[in-house]
Amino acid sequence: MTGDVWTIAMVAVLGLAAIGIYGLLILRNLIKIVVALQVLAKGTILVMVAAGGIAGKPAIGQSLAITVIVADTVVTVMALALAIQVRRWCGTLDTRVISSLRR
Amino acid sequence: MVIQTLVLSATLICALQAIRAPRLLISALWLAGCSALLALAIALLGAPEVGVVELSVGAGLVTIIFVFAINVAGEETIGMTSLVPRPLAWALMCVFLFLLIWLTLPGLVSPALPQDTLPFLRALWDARSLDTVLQVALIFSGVLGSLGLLAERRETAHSPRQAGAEGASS
Repeated sequence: MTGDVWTIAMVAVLGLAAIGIYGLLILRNLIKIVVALQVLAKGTILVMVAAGGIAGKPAIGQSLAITVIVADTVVTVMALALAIQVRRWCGTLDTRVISSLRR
Repeated sequence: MVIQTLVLSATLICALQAIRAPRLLISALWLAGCSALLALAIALLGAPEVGVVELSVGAGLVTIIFVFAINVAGEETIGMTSLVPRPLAWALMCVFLFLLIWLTLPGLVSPALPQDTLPFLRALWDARSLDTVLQVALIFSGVLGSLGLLAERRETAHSPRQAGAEGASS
């Protein structure tokens, strides 16, 4: 695998990380926030594979990428379950409305 | 290399649309497209095993969970005026990217590590077997936690609402 391919992969990682961080900062809907977290995790998966390829240890990078996929899925399930409970108890998914620290 | 560039560009576009889409269901579908394209890109980068896992878990299971959660929680249109002002969000994003590049670039430019030709399956099952055991524990804890969180509140037999309903029906 040539070095240029890994450079493109790292640029894509930066793009995914930027989109995820920007979404986490500006979004107000709890489920959309989980979507932004997923985009950030996709960047993490890609960087694990790319870093393994760059460092010459692809097997370690790929096994860590699988660990990231599993952990990220569990985090998503728990976050969505929490969002459903918030919707059930507060009646909304808007982070501006459910923030009780402002009162 | 052209194919990888195209696939990764399409992944970025899907991710951007997933953030920008006003409806939750459309957003989840764009995220599924992003995940499928990322799986293709990872397979093209020489890791087909990770690509298959990402395609089945990231594009399949997570999308189903998202659609289920959106069905339960209901569609809700919330305005795009954010808690953080847009210029501050852009500035924080640029700081984050600068730190990411600054901290990771030295390790990427000069990887002075010996080459490792360990096969993938041996690395997953033998060298990192503790990771695999922890993943299984994580999956079970996630399933149990989601069951506990999604469960309805149990109505007691003598709750006032139920007693009132019984009184009204009789």
